[in-house]
Amino acid sequence: MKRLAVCLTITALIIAVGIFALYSIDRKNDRLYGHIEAVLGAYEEGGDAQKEITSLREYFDGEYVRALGCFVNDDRLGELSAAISRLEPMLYAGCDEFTAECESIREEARQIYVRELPEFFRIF
Amino acid sequence: MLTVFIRGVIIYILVIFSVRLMGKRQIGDLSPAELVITILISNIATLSIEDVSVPLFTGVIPILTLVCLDVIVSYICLKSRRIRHIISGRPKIVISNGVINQSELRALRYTVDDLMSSLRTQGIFDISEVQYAVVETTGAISAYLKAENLPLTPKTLNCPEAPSDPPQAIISDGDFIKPTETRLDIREEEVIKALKRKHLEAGDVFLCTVDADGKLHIIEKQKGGRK
Repeated sequence: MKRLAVCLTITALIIAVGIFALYSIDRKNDRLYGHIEAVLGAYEEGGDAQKEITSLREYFDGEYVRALGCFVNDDRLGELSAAISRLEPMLYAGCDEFTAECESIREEARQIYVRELPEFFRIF
Repeated sequence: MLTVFIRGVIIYILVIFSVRLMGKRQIGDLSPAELVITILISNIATLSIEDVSVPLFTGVIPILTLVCLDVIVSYICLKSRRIRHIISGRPKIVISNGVINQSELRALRYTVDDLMSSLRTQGIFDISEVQYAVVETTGAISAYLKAENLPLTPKTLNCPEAPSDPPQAIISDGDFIKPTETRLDIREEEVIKALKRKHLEAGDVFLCTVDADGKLHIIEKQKGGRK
């Protein structure tokens, strides 16, 4: 009976951790989208895009990776990190694809969240 | 490297915890489903230790999920005979009155060699001696001999013997075993007195047992042993 109680508690904890992970990813993604918006805004309006990219990088390397590292595969975070690293050289080179790269970062981050959702087609 | 080490320590603790939670069953007593779960856990544990690119949680959660489900399903099986039969199956009679039930053996995909080998491990070499043999849900075969082949017991000879507990260790390697570990009613002081009569102390004793009559059997430590 004690074993059953422990197991039911652990199962409840696993479900709680799963829900917390989803909530945590969603919140961190919202802040990441905010940084991307700031980068795009500065780029389009001729502001200090360099500063916004640095701020995005700092947020990603610190808070974002620390929070999501527990739940998300390193490879996915690595892809996102590589995409963020490309922003600065693209900005200096005046590359046309700068906006597209920002959008791809946003999409990558969205995919991290979406892949954690327990949807029917993803389970089976 | 250190990450792998720390992960190894965490997974070790988790596996020990999981095995304790699953209960005290030996490999031979596991049902097929439990055996598969045990193998799965070992596999997941290996992957979580080795692959540092995967978060530890993705290894910990499936292990705990499998263990919890196993315990919950065991509990449900305990309460419901029907579910128990669905999950664990039913024992099957393969020998009845010395005759092999061949269709049942075929259904179980058991060969005669498997059957004979299992019987031989129980000291039975002649099928005609068997009254009844059952393939248990774990896959083990239990056999019951015909009356004329059963071993003699005090009961069959009509000479009942007073039941007695086997001897219990009360001193092991110089240390008294706590009273909770022994069922016999003997006090530590009595043992010390008995040892003194033999010019011994508890520290000199390698093993001391007491039987149901309260008789002590003392094995002294060999020279060079720990006092």
